[in-house]
Amino acid sequence: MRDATFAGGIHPSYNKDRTSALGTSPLAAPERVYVPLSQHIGAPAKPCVEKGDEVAIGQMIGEPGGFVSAPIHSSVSGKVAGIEPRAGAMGIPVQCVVIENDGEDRRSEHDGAGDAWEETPADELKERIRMAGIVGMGGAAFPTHVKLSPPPDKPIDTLILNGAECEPYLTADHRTMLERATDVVAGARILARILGVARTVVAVESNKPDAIQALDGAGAEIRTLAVKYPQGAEKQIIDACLQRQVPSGGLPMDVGVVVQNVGTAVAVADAVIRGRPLTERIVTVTGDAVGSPANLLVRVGTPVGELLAACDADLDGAAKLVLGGPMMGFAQTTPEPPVTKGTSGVLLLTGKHVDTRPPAPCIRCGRCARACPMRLVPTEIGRAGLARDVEASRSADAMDCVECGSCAHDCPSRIPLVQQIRLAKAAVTEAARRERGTR
Amino acid sequence: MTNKLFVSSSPHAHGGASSARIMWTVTAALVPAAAWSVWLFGIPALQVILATVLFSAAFEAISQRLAGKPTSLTDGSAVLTGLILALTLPPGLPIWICAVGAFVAVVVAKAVFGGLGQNLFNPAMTGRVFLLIAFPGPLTRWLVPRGTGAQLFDQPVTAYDASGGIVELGSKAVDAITAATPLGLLSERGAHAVAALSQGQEIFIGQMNGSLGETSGLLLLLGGIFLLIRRIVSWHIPVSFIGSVAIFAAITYAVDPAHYAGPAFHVFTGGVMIGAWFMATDYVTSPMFPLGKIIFGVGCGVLTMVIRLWAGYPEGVSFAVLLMNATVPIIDRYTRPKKFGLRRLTKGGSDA
Amino acid sequence: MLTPLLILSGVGLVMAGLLAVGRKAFAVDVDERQEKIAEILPGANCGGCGFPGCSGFAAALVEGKADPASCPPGGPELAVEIGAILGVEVEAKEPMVALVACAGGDGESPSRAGYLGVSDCAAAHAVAGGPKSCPYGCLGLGSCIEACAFDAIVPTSNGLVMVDPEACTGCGKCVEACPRGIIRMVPKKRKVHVLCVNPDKAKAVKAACSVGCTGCKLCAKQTGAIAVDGALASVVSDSEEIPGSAALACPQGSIFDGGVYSLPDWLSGSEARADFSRRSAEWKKAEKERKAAEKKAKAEKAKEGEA
Repeated sequence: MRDATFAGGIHPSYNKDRTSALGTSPLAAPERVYVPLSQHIGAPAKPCVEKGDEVAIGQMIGEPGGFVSAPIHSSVSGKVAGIEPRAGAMGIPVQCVVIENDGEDRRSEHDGAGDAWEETPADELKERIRMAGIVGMGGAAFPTHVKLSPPPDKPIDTLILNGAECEPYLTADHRTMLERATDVVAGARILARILGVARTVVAVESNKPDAIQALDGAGAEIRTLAVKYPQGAEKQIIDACLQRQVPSGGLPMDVGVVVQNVGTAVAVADAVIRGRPLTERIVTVTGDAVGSPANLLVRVGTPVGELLAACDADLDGAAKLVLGGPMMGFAQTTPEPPVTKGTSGVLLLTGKHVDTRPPAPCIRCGRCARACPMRLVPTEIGRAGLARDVEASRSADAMDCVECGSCAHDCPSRIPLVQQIRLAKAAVTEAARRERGTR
Repeated sequence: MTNKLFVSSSPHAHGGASSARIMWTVTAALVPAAAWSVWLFGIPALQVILATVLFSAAFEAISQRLAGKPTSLTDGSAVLTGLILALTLPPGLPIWICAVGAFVAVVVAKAVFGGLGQNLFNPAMTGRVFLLIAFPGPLTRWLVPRGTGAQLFDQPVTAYDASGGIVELGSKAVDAITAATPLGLLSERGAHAVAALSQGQEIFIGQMNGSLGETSGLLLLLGGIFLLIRRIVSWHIPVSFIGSVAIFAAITYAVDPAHYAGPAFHVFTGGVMIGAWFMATDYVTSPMFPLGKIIFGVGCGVLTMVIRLWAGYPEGVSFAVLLMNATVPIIDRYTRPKKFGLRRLTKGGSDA
Repeated sequence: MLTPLLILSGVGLVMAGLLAVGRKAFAVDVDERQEKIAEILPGANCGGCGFPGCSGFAAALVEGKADPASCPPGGPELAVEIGAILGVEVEAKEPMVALVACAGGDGESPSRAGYLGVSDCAAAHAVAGGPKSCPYGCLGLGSCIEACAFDAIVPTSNGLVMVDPEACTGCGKCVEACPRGIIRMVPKKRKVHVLCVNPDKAKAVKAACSVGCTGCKLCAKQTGAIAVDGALASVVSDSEEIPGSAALACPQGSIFDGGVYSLPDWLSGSEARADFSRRSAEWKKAEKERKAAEKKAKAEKAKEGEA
């Protein structure tokens, strides 16, 4: 069967060779962790501990702030030093529960369902997932239990496990599929049970043959995908695997599908079977300013600076620090922000990857339109965005853009298209807000 | 940390494409054809090429300075415009006329619209058409290429001395010999006058007279294929332009072979080769999307043939391209790709 | 020669006649007050009144839908004139001008990272919280300059922008354009301004900017016209003249005293700052001596009281 794919997309340099063969190694827990109250889409968690409280690993330190929210748990054992703001990945300070690590790694008591999960009612399984603080580990960090609760008028027939990992540099999911294939499959089965779907497909790009083999050995139905960016974007992976296109403004459940990252599946297995909340994750640390790149198992709340130090990184000689992948990640002004549940990668890049030349004028070559996986015309949306033209932004379908960055990657004039499109989207959102207010 | 980090919006990786590199690559693809024309026509060709290119660069730099913008000659667009314009001009064109052409191309057709990326009409074509209309005489004075002499076409030639006076062919004072181009002959004398040419290989390899870029179909085709391989042009415009010229010519030839020349003749004479590969494919003035490009190419081809066969000029490529340039905004509007999420769903989830 | 002349002249006369007739026949009834008002309006079409252009404003005025005092470029004199045409009493509004309440330039609040991208304040603000050390301060990329229809805002040499109060008409477009809300409308006659909008506490402000307001309240002690809300001071009243001591008392130098310095000098002139430091130190010394003398006098009086 030919590798599945979607229309559009680009072929960036992948740069995964330095880390794809490196086994995951645990990073020593830091002296202090800063666990943000908001590591997910939705309402921030509400702190349920105070300064001076003793906590253990896995103990809940923040309760969900609503239905679309998630609890947070301590990733070390020790004493709560306070609840303070700390630099965050988006450049603005975030409220964090600060915990002094006592080094004992005491764990709080949780019992998993063990193999008896197969007899446990689906609602109870979902509640375990919710109280374990599981959110999408692919980067979007959407609370998993919400995704597993589609309304009754949206029947789900297929679960897709996203093992594409299409972002350059990142190899965290690759290592997860290799090292924890059985748990990926177990997690998939748990999710399938909750959703009541007949079919589960694990979708993997064909540049990870070892992972495909491992998953196949663990009994998964695999769909190989062509190596292309952004193959792992939700809408594109559904299109490639099932030839169904999520309608504009819609969600995967509108076409009967739920997509979950392979890392999320493992976290689900850990939570349901072993009773472990989400307190750590694999982070790929790499880039040409990093001397010893690695796939680290990191406690949530560890400052990024610690990961860089552990990997022999040259921060002074670096030009850019990115959290996430290079296509959709966030550039940082400092290595202070803590690792969160959604931090898949830490990239430290030298000046070779930073072009300070101003952009050239748009020459209407059309490469952005050819690259766009949503089949939009980025240069048109960009123009509308710069002019804050709401009508033009709407007719250019600005809100359909998934901000994958394919357009800007291929633009020969080095135009910051994604930034311009974000301006267009902001103008449309603001106009919609004003219109709603006056009605 | 001593060094400051840079921040920008995502993405933080770039594919390395550069518009400057694209322009210089297209310029490079034209060099073989330009070199061939210099070999054919000697100094008169070299002077036209150098003058047009240098004046184009100079006018672009001056107009950018006057507009308060930084000069950007290294982006290669002025040089490319100059070279393309030069290849549409006859060898021996006086330098001052080349300068006027460069001015119209770079300043009137480009700078006035806002510079690179903002112009509606192809600058080189605009310059060429302006010169043709303003200076019809010099623009249609065709030197006979080296080594061919008057035997090439079995038709009258005119010989000139250095001051432009007409002399007897064969006398020592001959400095320039002109003759009609194949298209000119076709237009004036009909198909039989060029019948022999249509079978011959001269028009393909380029041993004929005409403007500098009209001569070698082979070298231009090779240059075009080079651009195709380097993914600088897509096949849509060249194939539909050349294809529609060939089909149109084939139909008229089949209907009346005595009156009309065949497809090979029309494809390899005049500006069709250079126009299809290098002028109609100019990103700024051609459509962005595949279906639009095909419409554009077919439009150019059809208009070229209509003008050649039934209008007052022997050559139609420059007018055809300019006319189609005007339709590009509306072509783009109606040939936009359909966005993701509009396709009808195939329920049941079957995959390829 | 004569015939074409006559024909053309005749055609011209006929056309002129048609135009004259048309003007009368198709004339639109316009309230003559509206035309009179339209003549005296500034004609800048800036939209500061909230109506589409000056003609829109004139039309709204005669319909009674507009306040005659709402044309900022026209000022209070224009409001009175409009009132005269409409036959109503008009209260002159206090003329307001825009003020960019930030003095943290490249030297005071240096950039914490190099910014690459769209040269626009809203765009830069959205990337990593903005490239400036102070997350609330002026980014200097000129979105306000773009928005100003009167060329009243100019960049300074140290990465800030400044409004020229004489050129400013108070239309308010710059206030909307600033993504950080740094520009506010202030009475034109006010001379003393707190040039900071950072609401954070002292430690964070000092790390972000050397001239930011830490909310220490020393200025508020000198005058009731300045109040501190949380950790940010601002001028809240113009009823009393603000003494020069209010600015001199500020340990950060966040308060600009327009009675002593000119704004351009203050924003980018180290001379003005040096002079301020000197005067501030002198004033603080004099205050200390005064307080010590008062204390001494009080103590002596108490002793006399005992005796």
